[in-house]
Amino acid sequence: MFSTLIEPFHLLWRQSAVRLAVQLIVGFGLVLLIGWAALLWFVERELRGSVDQELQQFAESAYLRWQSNGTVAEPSDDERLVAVVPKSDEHAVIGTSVPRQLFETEGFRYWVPAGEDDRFRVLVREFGDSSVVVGLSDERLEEVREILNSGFFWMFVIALAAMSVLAFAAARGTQARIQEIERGLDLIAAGQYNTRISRGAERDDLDRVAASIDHATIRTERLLEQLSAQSANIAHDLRTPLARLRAKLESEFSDSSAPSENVIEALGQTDRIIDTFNALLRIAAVESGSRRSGFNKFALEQLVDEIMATFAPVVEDTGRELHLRAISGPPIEGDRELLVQLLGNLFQNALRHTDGDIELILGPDRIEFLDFGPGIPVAERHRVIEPLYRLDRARQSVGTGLGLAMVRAIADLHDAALELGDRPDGRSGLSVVVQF
Amino acid sequence: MRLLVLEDDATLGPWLEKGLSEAGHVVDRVTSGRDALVAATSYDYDVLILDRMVPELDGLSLLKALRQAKITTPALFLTALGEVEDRVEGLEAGGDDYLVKPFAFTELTARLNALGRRPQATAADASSVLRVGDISLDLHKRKCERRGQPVDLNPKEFLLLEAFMRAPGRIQTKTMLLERVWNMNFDPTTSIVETHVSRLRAKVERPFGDRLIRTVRGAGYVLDVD
Repeated sequence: MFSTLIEPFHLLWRQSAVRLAVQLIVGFGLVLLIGWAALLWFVERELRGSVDQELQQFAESAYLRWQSNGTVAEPSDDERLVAVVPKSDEHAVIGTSVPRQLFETEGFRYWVPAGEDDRFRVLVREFGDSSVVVGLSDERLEEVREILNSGFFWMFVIALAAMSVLAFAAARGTQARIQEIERGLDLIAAGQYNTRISRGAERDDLDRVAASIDHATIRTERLLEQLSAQSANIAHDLRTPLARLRAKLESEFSDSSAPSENVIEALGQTDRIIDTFNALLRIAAVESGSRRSGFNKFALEQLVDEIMATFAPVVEDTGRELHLRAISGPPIEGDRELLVQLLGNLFQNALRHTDGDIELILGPDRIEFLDFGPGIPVAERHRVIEPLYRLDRARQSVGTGLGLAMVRAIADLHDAALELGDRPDGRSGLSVVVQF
Repeated sequence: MRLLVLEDDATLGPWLEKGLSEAGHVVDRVTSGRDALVAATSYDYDVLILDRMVPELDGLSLLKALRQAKITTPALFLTALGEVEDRVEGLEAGGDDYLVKPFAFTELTARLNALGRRPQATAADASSVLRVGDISLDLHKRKCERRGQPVDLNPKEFLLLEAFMRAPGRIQTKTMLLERVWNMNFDPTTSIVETHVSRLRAKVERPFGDRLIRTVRGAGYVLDVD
């Protein structure tokens, strides 16, 4: 539960504009704090200086009065104190009653009267025949300090809040533009080359980045259009002669009441050529990556019913069994039809080249296909997935040698790894694993 | 049927024309998109057969223009452009079917017939029970009955029988069945269709001792109706 609370902040933190805003706010806050401290120190020093100066004058005037008429003026409030200790009688404290220890050292210091909270700034001066102590309550300074602190505190809070709002507003603006660029790039990567990110104006570096991306996309789009036109021409130029050839043979076949063996054989071989050719073109189409734009999210175990209903009867008709298992797992991104085609090719190979039962496990993030045939020799494993390659022992049988090439092409398109290996239980047979 | 064939190839064009005429259709053949446009807007056809890569106005743009002009004649693309995107493009432009060259003539005929049939009484299409001869399929409850007895079919067998029953007397090629029942636009090379047809026959014919689904060699299968 804690992690779901953290999650939105974690996501925010991954945005550069947000980080910048936070850095600026923290920096601004620090600058404000340092300024505040500095100002406080400066003000305090100045105020302290003026208080101390006042104390000096206070001490002198008190001494002068003592000198002239032997009295000490009663302070009118308890914010001031003044006392004299004559050298002649050191036990006498005339004026405010202060403890004798106070007179012992000359100079400025602080003194808190017993039982009270407020402190005094005190000056002890020794004149020829007596010592004078004067003091001013620090209350005033305390008040000034409090007012300043309070004022600065609110200024800090308001300034920081205002700064945060501004910084995040600016960050959002920038972040929105960055996200737009990200979204555009995702669309382009998925194959939508007509995506344009730039808004027209080129005011700053983000705009220039967007414009550069658009230029690259336009070049890519044009290149792909050229390639597409070229491959359409190639398809046409290759398919049309085949179509003509077939048409001629078919005419020959259907026109005569007793078509010759040669014609029938020729038609059969032509169809084999056409099948191989179509399979090659289909592999090329898958390898071009254009089908990635038709990807959907689904879990591998969802294919189970389809595969069972479609292929189990075919397997059973050859007198064997299909053992199909589904393991639940997270959804993958892919093309269902292509994955069914991939499995179809694996079934085709197993039915044609092996005799035993067939096992298929779908999920959680892999397809595992096992048979009980002779397997594929280790040395040949990387070659059988090449187009048109056939093992020696299989060369005479029907087949194009393209089944595994298509399996490889489909696996690649899904960014899945294809592994041909031995059965995990050690018995003779092939294991084909497509790992997503 | 009256057919408009747009095909500029010097071998395939005449071959198509000859084959279709011999099959009993009235065929107008043109060799450019512009001629096709003129013909399609001047005359009434049952099906348009269009090659895509033809001079002056390609088949796809032609069909888009015809659809814009509210001409709803069923159209079948016959073309060398065979990628998934090309097919999708063709169907989105208003095409009703898409056949890639090279192809067998029987494939063309089967698909033509599927396109060119007069729409049956719409009541039959809209209702939830399909009846042909003495078989009935309840499309909602997914149940099959023949001569009053229930026939237990699994989902694929049901779809297969439904495909036959929607086109009684018309040949269904393997490719057509793979597309309709298994949603496969490729050749799986395994005998999926044969296996399922034989299982369907075992359930729907053998207990009743007759033959409903006939194999037409080199073409496909057909549900015979008396």
